[in-house]
Amino acid sequence: MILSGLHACTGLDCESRLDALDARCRVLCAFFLAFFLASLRDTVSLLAGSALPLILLCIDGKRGLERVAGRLLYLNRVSVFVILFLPLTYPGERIFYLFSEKGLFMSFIIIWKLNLISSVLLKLVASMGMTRVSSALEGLGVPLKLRSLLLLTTRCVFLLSERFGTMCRAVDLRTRDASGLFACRAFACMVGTTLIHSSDRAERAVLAIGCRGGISGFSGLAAPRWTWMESSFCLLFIINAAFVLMASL
Amino acid sequence: MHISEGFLSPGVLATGWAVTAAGVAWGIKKMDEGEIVRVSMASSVFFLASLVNVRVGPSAAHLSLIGPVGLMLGWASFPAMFTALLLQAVLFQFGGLLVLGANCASMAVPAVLANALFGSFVRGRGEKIAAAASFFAGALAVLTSAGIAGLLLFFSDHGMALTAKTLLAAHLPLSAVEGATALFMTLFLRRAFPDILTGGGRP
Repeated sequence: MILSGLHACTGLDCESRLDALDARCRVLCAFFLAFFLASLRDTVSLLAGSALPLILLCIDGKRGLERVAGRLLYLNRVSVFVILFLPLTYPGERIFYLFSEKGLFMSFIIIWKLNLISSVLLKLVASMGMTRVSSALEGLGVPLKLRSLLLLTTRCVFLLSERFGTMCRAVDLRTRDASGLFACRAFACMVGTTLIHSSDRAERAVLAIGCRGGISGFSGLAAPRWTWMESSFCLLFIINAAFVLMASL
Repeated sequence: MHISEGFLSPGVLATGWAVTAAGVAWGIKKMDEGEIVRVSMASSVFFLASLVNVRVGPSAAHLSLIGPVGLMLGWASFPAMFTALLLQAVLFQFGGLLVLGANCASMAVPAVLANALFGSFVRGRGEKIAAAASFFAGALAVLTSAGIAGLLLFFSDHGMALTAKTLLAAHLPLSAVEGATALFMTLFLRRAFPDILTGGGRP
């Protein structure tokens, strides 16, 4: 059993020129553009739609580009599956009696959209880190219970990862080459034991949160502000959408 | 199991978000303040469990544990899965943020169904019946999830019908592994900590 390195993954939360913008504006613009890009289905409109994601990618210079490009490269592992699989299963005229012409085009469009949408969401949302995402959700009216659950889960994941890693090592030491039913049983008991330990810890956490005045203490401290800069940023995204629509006509 | 960005049409994406929003709203309505920590702990355990590779024959698999989540949390599976998938998308880029609604719906709906169909048998007295019910809860939850993911692909583009069928077929061996894991886990929890298998209700 191998626990993929959670601590090796630091997210993309680092300084960016986009940090000057309100978190709500970033989330709204990102989802607007991503949803718009998802609706595009031909090369001309996708070509026109690629301009803004490329500008966003390059906004923080070489270092910012490298960080997102690394993640995009990792994401593109799904492209291999798409290129191999979709042309084989998609209906339509065949090239070399095997690959569907429409399927090849479809896989090309999907990979293009995957990269565009992911780069927009990585740059505008994932780079904020969980704390700013949570404060954006607060500004957008997401209920306190859900935001508290999100922050507590983020905290618990890092808290429990250490214990989980220790248990994985223990199982590995006891049963080095476990596979099949035996591996399932070892894994199930390990998850069960972690659940029991975490349940004890949860009870103590509930008491501690109660002492601090309940979950209302999880409200964000940063006051949201919406200035002309945020309005201009939103306007830029709307103009871009209009431009892409005109280009595709 | 995660559907990546770029596959789904705007209509399917919107439907996925609508189902997820309704499920999350209902889940958090049924969940009181004291339960939030318990749900977050369970959510993080399943987040971590999905990062572990279990060796199955010559290859290895990441298990999703959709069935056991449903048997433990009931309707709270919706907010639990939503937060776990959001974290996976932000930290690891598993799935994606735009497809989060569709991915959450395809995993949380089978979890809720597993609890509704098999929950009472799993919590019942007979150990053999509980074992069989947990196996079917685990296995069918994964197959239902793959089925929903396939339907989402099909409704995005009818040309992906064969892709969707292949996706479902590819999950058949995995469902047996998930079923076996759910069986062992439920039997362990029934003996060690039966109060945890409440299906979202109070112990």
